[in-house]
Amino acid sequence: MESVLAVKNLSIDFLTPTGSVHALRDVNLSIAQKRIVGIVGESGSGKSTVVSAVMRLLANNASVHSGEIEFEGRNILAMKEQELRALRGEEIAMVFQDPMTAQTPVRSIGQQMMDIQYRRSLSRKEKRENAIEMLNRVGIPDSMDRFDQYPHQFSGGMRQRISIAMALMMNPKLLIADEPTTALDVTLEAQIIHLFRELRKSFDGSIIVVSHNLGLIAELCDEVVVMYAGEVVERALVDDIFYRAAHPYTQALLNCDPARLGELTQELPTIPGDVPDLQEVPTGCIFASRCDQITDICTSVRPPTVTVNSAQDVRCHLAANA
Amino acid sequence: MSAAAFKSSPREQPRFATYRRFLREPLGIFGLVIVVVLVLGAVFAPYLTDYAPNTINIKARLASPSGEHWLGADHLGRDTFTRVLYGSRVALKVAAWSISLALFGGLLLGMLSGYGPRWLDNLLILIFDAVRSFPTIMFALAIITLTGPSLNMVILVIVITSIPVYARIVRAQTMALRESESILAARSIGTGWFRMLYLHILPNVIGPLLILASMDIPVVVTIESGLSFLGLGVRPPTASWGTILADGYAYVRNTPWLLVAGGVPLILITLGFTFMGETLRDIFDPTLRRRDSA
Amino acid sequence: MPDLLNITDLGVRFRALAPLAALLERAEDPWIDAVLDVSLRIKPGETVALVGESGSGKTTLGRSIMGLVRPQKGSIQFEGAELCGLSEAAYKPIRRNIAMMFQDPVASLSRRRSIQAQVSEPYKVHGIPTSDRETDRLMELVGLNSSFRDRFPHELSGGQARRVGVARALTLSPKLIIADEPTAGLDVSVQGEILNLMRDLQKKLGISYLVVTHNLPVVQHISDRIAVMYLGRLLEQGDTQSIFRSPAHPYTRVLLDAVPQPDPAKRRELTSIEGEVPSLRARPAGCEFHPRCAHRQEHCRSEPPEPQSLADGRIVRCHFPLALD
Repeated sequence: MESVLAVKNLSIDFLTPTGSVHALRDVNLSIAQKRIVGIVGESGSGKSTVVSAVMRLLANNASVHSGEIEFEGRNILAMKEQELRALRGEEIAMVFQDPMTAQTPVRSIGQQMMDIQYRRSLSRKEKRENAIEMLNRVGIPDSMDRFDQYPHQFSGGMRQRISIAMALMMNPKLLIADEPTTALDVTLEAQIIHLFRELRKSFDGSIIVVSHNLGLIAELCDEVVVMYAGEVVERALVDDIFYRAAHPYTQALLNCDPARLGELTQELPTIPGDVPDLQEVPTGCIFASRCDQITDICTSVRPPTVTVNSAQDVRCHLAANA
Repeated sequence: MSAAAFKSSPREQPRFATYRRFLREPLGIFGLVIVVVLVLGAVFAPYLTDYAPNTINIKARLASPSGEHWLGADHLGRDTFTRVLYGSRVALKVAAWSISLALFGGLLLGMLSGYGPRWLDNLLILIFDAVRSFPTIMFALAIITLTGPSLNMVILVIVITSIPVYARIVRAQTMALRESESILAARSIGTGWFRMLYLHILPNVIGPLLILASMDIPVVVTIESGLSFLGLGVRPPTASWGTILADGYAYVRNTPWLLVAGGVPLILITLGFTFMGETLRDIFDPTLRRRDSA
Repeated sequence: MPDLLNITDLGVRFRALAPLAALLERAEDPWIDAVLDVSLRIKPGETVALVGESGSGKTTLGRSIMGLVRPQKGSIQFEGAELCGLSEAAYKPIRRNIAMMFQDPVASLSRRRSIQAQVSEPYKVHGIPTSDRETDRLMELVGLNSSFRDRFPHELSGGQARRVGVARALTLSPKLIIADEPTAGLDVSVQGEILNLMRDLQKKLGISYLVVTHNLPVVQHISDRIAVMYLGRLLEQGDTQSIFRSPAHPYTRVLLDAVPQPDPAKRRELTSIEGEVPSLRARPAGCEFHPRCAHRQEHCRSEPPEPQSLADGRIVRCHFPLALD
């Protein structure tokens, strides 16, 4: 079965006055049909860069050094603007972090929901009905009455639901949710998680959830991709990541999450050190400077990607030598 | 594109970055060059010409430009080039005094208005609006009719009408800043109002104000020229671009050069300061920054 | 041990509508109550976490202790002295004893001044002579070496800027530090650094903390007591471990249950809360949480509950608190 999205050996640099920042290096990941894949990483991991690259929404100073992004077999990086426009909103849709700026403030929500359907030759009545139905599905109360209201008349939680409604409206093959709950309170976050679970039953496409919140990833995802400083360090099914993590970074990250800490600790665990400067990528393993299981080879040779089991691979010398 | 992926260059203080950015803009440099030339011309006027500005020489009456008189002579035989140079002294004197006094007044009143108690703000705004309701030229005409023409009166009028404009801008910035976290933090350690204004508010509001002021210089100079043109500014025989223009107007059938000599410096000073000011504003205004240089 | 901070029946209101607008809209009550009837105590050397969602009033409460916002009702006593009603000048000496760490560490620092200048600022404001050595000592205390002295805020990472915030808060050796969202914007792998630092300083210097946060998982590990706010009121306060183990107020239970668990085996359906936080301008009648409460009863719709003490010493504002384990 062909994967919906396949990122192959993607390397992206950002050109700055002081030099090139190697933001992504040799990133590989694939999304199969109807799967929810989480991309987990902290600041500087490159997770947002990957999804921006998929949508071809990178900044002007980004340059794709090498690699491909294949959406249903077609290379997104080679597409012209016209082809991309046909793709965006229709086949690949995105939900962004900040619900307060996601909709345009000068058109009503109803109008925006109808605008998205511009590619379909439907009557106004049909478009309106589709829009109202979608608003209902995401749990907007009184959707008929509120159809003509403007974004500022909705709360943050509602606006995020509307963003999700707009993204799913055209039944895309791939939905990308970039930090969808980071800006929301925890009770709203729980409602959005619930919404995603409900929608999944009727949604045929695949979903990518980008987040730094391990809890969100555990609640929603089938598979997880862990990124650190521009590289994919581990990929696995969600259970394997949380119970049998193979990469020291994944293990350390899980260790630091306060929601996982069992009994009371005097000192909260941390990962000492800083993310390395990506203008001068160090030799060897990118995590070596902060790893507590480091061996001699780790600082001189970049680790290969090792397959641990049918769905898990990890970029680490320890796994290679096991 | 995450911020953590970029380590900003060490020790780059905000100031130096501005100078370097400025030097990348050709229009800005062009404007700067014009301004520098004009200022140097004014400062070194006596060394750049052998003539004195008011020396009458009827023999050279209305002469065309020649080796002896680079821009010709006016109806009294006074060398035009010299008068233009000395006229630029008048222009710059007016600009320097009026803008700096207006800046000082505007900063002070603007900060007090923005940071102080409501009643003070309301009172000051009332005064500002009252002053601004008069068009500047009318205001100038009214005052000068009462007191008689003089350069100092011109400066005074400009100061009085400029302060409200500057103060409003400072006030708006101050009010926005007042709610920011850094001000809150300063209040939380017990910073008093004077220290707050001087150390925390002033450095952050002065930038846009200086840009505005530099763009205001040509406006001020034009006002002075206008009043002098009408005979309400400098008194004859003092040279000012305005009086040269007045003479040029009267004697346009005899020679166009007086008009040119009076008008071109005005155009140049406007271009120069405007280009400079706009370049500075583009540097300081983050919303205009292009994505690839972020 | 006498209380360090004793807040009683505190009320803070803001004008939502200017007088003319209120007249035009015929609004009966142009005020919104950001903090309502809050009573809270903090002992020396103790850490109290103030938790709540957006609109709960927790930030306003923190700021009113600092005197950045003036309460209209109630009292705040610090070491026995009343803070409400003090003039700005009279507040100044108090500010040597209460310090604040702000949510956005970079924004709370002045853009154009060096770190050195800003860490030593409290000394200058209070007219206390200081030296470079003193600043260095403070920076070292928070784990920043002296090379940071001449840097500017925009050159620091988020974690480093937070440390500067801690250093500045420590400058005058305060007895109480109010930390507003100390972990906001920090990666999970470095959150611990700041929190461990704060705890070390507490052990060394006996500082009390009021940590204002919505980051619930962290709260369990850093606080002795927890106070839960909703629409400006305290719904539950008491010993952290007891409340985490067995929350008495339905809202607290909902909050704790809502936190996504980083463990796929613990996925559960959160169905026990509906709707969103009501606007502060349209407060529900009776118990303000009742429209969203799964346990609501007729009585809750009409009678606002008074705070009551439970067996283990916690205080709960609910007619039908959940049974304790």
